[in-house]
Amino acid sequence: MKKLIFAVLLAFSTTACFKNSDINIDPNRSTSVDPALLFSGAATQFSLLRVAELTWPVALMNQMWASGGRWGLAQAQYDQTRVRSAWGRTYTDVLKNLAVAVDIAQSAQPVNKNAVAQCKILMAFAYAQTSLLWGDIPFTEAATGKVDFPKFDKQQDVLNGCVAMIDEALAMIDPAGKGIIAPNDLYYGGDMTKWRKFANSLKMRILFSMVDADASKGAAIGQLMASGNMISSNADAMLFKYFNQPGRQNPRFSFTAIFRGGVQSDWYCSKPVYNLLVSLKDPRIPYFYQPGPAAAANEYIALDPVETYTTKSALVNMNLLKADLPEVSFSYSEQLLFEAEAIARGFAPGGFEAATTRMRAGVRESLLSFGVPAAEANTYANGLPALNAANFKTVLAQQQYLDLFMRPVEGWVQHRRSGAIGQEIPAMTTPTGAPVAGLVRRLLYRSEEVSSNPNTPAGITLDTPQWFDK
Amino acid sequence: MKKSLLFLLLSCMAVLTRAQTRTVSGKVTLPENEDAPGVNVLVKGSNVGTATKADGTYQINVPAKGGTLVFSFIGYKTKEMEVGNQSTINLSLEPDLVNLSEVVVTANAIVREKKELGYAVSTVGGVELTKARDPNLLNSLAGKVAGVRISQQSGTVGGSSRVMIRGANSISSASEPLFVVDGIPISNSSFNNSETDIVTGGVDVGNRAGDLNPDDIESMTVLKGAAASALYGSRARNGVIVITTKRGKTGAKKMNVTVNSSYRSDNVLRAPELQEQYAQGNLGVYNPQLGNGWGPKVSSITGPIKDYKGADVQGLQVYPQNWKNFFVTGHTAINSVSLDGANDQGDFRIGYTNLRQTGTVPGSEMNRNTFAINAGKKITDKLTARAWANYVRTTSDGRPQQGSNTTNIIATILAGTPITVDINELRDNLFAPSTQAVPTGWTGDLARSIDLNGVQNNPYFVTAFNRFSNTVDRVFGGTSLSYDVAPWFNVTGRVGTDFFTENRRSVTRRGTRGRLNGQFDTNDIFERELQTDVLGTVTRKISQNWGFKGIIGHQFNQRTIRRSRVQSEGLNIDQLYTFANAQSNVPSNFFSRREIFGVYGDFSFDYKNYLFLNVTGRNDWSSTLPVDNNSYFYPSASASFVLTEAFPNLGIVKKDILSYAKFRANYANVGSDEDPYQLSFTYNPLTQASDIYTFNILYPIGGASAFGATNILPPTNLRPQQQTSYEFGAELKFFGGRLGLDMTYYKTLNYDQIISIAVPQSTGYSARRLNVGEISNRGLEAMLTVTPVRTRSGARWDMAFNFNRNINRVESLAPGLQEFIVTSGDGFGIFIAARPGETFNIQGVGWLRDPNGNIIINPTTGLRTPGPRKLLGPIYPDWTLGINNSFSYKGFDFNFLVDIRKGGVINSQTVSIVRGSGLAAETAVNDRTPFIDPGVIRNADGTFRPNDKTVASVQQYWSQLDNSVSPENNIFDGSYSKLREVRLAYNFPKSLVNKTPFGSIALGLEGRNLWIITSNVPHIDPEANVLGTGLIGEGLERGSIPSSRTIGANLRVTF
Repeated sequence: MKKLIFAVLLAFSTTACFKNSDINIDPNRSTSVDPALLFSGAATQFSLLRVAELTWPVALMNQMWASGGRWGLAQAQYDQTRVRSAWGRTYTDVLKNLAVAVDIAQSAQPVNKNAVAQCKILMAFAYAQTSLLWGDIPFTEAATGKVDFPKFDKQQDVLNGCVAMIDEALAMIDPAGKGIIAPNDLYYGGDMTKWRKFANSLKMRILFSMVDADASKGAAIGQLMASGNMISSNADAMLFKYFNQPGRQNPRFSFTAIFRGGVQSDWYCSKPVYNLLVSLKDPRIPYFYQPGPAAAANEYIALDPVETYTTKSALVNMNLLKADLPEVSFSYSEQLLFEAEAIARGFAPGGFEAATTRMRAGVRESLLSFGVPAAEANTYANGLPALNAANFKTVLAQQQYLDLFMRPVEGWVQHRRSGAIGQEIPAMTTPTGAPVAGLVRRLLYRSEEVSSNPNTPAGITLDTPQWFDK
Repeated sequence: MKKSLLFLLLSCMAVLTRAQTRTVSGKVTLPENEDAPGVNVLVKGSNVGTATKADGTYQINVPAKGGTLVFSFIGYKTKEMEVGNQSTINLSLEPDLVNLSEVVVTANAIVREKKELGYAVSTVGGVELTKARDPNLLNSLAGKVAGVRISQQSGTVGGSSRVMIRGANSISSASEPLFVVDGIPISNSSFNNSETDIVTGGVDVGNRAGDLNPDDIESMTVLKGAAASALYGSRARNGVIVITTKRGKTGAKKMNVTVNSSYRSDNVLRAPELQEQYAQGNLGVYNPQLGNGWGPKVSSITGPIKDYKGADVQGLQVYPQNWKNFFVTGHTAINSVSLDGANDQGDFRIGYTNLRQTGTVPGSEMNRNTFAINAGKKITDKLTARAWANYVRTTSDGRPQQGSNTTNIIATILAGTPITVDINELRDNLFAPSTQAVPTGWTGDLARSIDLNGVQNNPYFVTAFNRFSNTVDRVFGGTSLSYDVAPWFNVTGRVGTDFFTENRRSVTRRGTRGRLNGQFDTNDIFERELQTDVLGTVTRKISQNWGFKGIIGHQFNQRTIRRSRVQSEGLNIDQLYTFANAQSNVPSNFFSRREIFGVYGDFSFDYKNYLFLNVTGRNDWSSTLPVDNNSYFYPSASASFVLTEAFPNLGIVKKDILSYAKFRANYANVGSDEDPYQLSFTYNPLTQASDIYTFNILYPIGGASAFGATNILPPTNLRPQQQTSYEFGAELKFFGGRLGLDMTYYKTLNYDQIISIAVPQSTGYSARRLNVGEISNRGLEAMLTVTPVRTRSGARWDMAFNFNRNINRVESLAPGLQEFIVTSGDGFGIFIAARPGETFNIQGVGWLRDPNGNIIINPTTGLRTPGPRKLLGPIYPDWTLGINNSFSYKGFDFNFLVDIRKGGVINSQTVSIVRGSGLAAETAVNDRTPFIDPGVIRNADGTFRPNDKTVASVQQYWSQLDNSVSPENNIFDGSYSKLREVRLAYNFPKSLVNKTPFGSIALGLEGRNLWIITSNVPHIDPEANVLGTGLIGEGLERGSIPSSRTIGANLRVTF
């Protein structure tokens, strides 16, 4: 009996090793993946950040919209706590996954060139956006997991790098071949011709953000204009679609639905924008705004950034916050207005007449996109002053800013590049109670990055201009 | 190791002989002339023994000549009686006020005398637990055991309670102790531990240790240190709560029947103190669209006006008690019956308990049925078999949501309910009147709102329709077979399991503001733990003075978790919660399994019964570690020395000044493994994309599914985690036990922890998993007992002071890492942070201050300015003290327990909300005259002058103090003192009971959580915590259901 028991004990103890066992192989996750699946995740996350977390805080601190103090006045006073996850999610959920997808597509046999191109174009978009929000950012050493403390690259290096990345992508595009297709390509369904147009347009947008600080980019813009192949119709626009289905709705709609029981009571009409619209007799007013619940029909009462709302305060129109509106990454009107600017500034030939034509076309498209009837849009566009050397900066900048009314990320870039410090169009003043004297010119690095990456630049304040901001 | 043990076993062998016998019988009584059932009667120097029956009688075989009988009974002095020629021996036992012979159930159901143990243990007996029965057993431990801190998380019916023994041992997981029932580990999971779940309206679903039924429990022993981990494995490093269930006992009759009935009522202990003057509005202007108290004085509103429903009224009325009136009285009925019996051949016990509880939140309820069986049988002289099983079925419905970010949070709704709203009108009218704002395009029933804007739901609509329900079916138990190979050698095999399924469903009705189209969440959880043990025990006298006890064993442990969840949104038909009726269903599932093989040895030596030495060793092989590095050994050693037995002739001992003195010391090292599946680079199927506003985009979107690469860089060269600890202690009793002191000093160091350490997010990853970080705890536990009154007539007054001071410190993090976020309350604007040299702190944005610490005021607004993030205070208390007074006289037993906590902070967002909404009483003082906030203003030259700027309005002042701007003003000193428990019990005297059909009758009255004597936190119970039991951290409160004051009565009879 004793012997038996000892034998049993010894036998038990030798079984315990887990050699050749599959018990610790994760049944919930995979060790391999198709890059298309990484792309759709990265694209959805990227769009969500643009349309939600990077919309309201940016729109409020830049006076594109007014908060009415609905969530406290800090919103308009450059409160950074409302942009908490965009930095991290852009790197971990967008850029990292795209980088991994590129690696997988590149090591496929044969190389999935179109997939590489699609991922790189989106990466360039995301890096440029991140830099234009924060300034110097990790780029060359970022999102690989190989460098523990990525260095912060200068903004000009990041933006030049983005242009180079787009060029690499363009070189790999094969319109006849297959890359990431529907449903995983949520933008263009795998149409590589459209991807090429978007890549060129995106490149132009990045160059425009640089040209005030680096005049040589004017020539590059001219070359792009000459070779064409950019977005040339509404069908080419870069859009991320949302659907009127639960969980797939545009978050701008869900926000009101979740927090406000479906009644818009958060985003108010901001004075600098409203005053500009009034001065231009712009027909977009009733399309941008809806009167407050206690206001008369067509009574639009705008708010200063730190003014508390009343029941008469006008609100951002619920029609612009619909469940199935897409997130716009690049629109046709934006393209036309860029082209007008390129011509007006002499980067491309044609002179002010051609620039005026292009501007009026762009403004018409812009008005149509907000729902203004065609006749009214035509009248307004045609009534805009012809561009000349004296007025083109102001007239174009006004229209470019208004065109981006629902796109605060691009709207903020447009505002900062619209004039020298203090001369931006439209004019704005620092909100009462803001922690700095000037207008907000950047986001502050997130505490997660500051506390874990010793390379994070210090001593930068909210009104320190970025390199591009001249 | 094993070979040397075998050698030892063989060298200890001896031969036993048998002798002729005769019979002795008699009766044992207690001083109160009561019968003494269950007294152990042993023939000295032999294995022959029996126990007295319910009437105190016994019968035992003794050697033909001479012999001595030893009578022992817990709580009474052991008595030795020479048999001589007597055939009848009657005796009365005397109470042992020094409790020398207390036995303790330690690891693996091994019973030991307390004096043998070289580490600190505390036992709470079952009687203690059933006199005042709390639905969550853990709450009965509060304030009673040194070194153990119990915190009730909320006033939710069936809510959870958190246990922490000797401080936090990890910066990556909650340091919950291991629960063991009859030698088998059981689960104390809560599956409520995701941060997102908690931020966005989590429900306190309770913790699984709450399934334990106090009526089935014989005793609870708390092993505070890691010394017992050789036998239980790594999880014992956070301490062990060893629970022994009741077995059948020998009684006067073949079967004992016990009936125990309790009734309790619960009321909200503390409701926020609200103002009773101001209507809803903004800056003193009335506005029925808002849910707050920032309007004008209600008395100043005259003439035609719209109320919150949009109805035209001539004026408004104040309803000051809305908050209090919303909550109702909860009722709890606990009824249990048990049958038990035993004889020489075996024992059995069957118990059934029914618990029905309704909570203070209207419509919340819980029902629990527990069946327990425990039966043992002596199959032969040498072979004993035992089987035990507990089946628990818990159903609950209507548990309220806590946290933020949904419109279902009751406490948040109440904190926004204007005082002009009649809560009874809300109760009687759940749906929106036609005059209230309706979202564009909405048709169908819609919740009435407390504001004309239509933002916040009627709280009664929420409790009536948006209900969380769950059902838990759980079985735990085991079987064992024990064989006496020789009188000195026993082999026991044991198999046990604990498994449960939990089905949860949370529904939100169509028409709920914020979730207009309705949704529901279905969550099925299965968890199982399986453990087998084979152990051999040798008990031998090595020589006349030296004794030996050795155990070697083998253990296999497997833990499995399976979850599946479907999140459904958009209901076509109202209140039909089927997947087919939802416009969107997002399913997800999860499976995890881990295994451990362990081999262990535990060797004890004793010298003359006053010096005890114990060494243990264990080697584990874990499935979760890298195959090449999955084996780890960990040892422990302890010693105990009973001075008073070693030197009984010392003067102070002889005079009974020093009645008992024991000193103990131990050292232990514990290795431990890691969570499963952490070793490879993986791609996760995604169910959703999210941002901080929680508008999750669900996959598939536009037909596209999605994957993401892991955000945690997998580890390389992972090693087991380590803990070393030592403790020293002394148990001293003076003056025959009238004064006692039991104190322990301990120090624990945890290192090589396996943690996901944050890396810069710009790397593309949020964390890297590696061995890093050290965290230590050192502390003092002291239990002082005093008996100021003890008379011959039986009157007695006992006081027990139960003191605990623990110093928790993060010794180091990864090189270069200044801070580790232990738990992110990002949605609350605060974090629980670990920084080297500090304990866990609440971290958040603090006010800008001048070098002297004065708050810097913005000269244009007169308001405070948010500054950088900083540590806002430690989450754990400096010390805690429980003071128990008990008085007993002639069957009456009265005691009360005061619980004191000193230090630590709490962040209350409920306070932030009631102040920010202008409903808190303090927002109405001085007729809301604007004032100057004490602080300083920065001069142009960098110097400071006292603030002279009056705030524009009181509303702006309180709004600026909102948690999202800076939590600093909502951080409070967490010190408090509470009247935790008051109990009055009466045991009817035998003389009276004998005239009834009953064997005994006991009546009890009890009150729990009765009175917050002192607190520095306004508006709420300072104990609240929204993080539940699964996350590290305490001191965060948001929208918590207020805790309850409980009053109850209990009747216990035996037949």
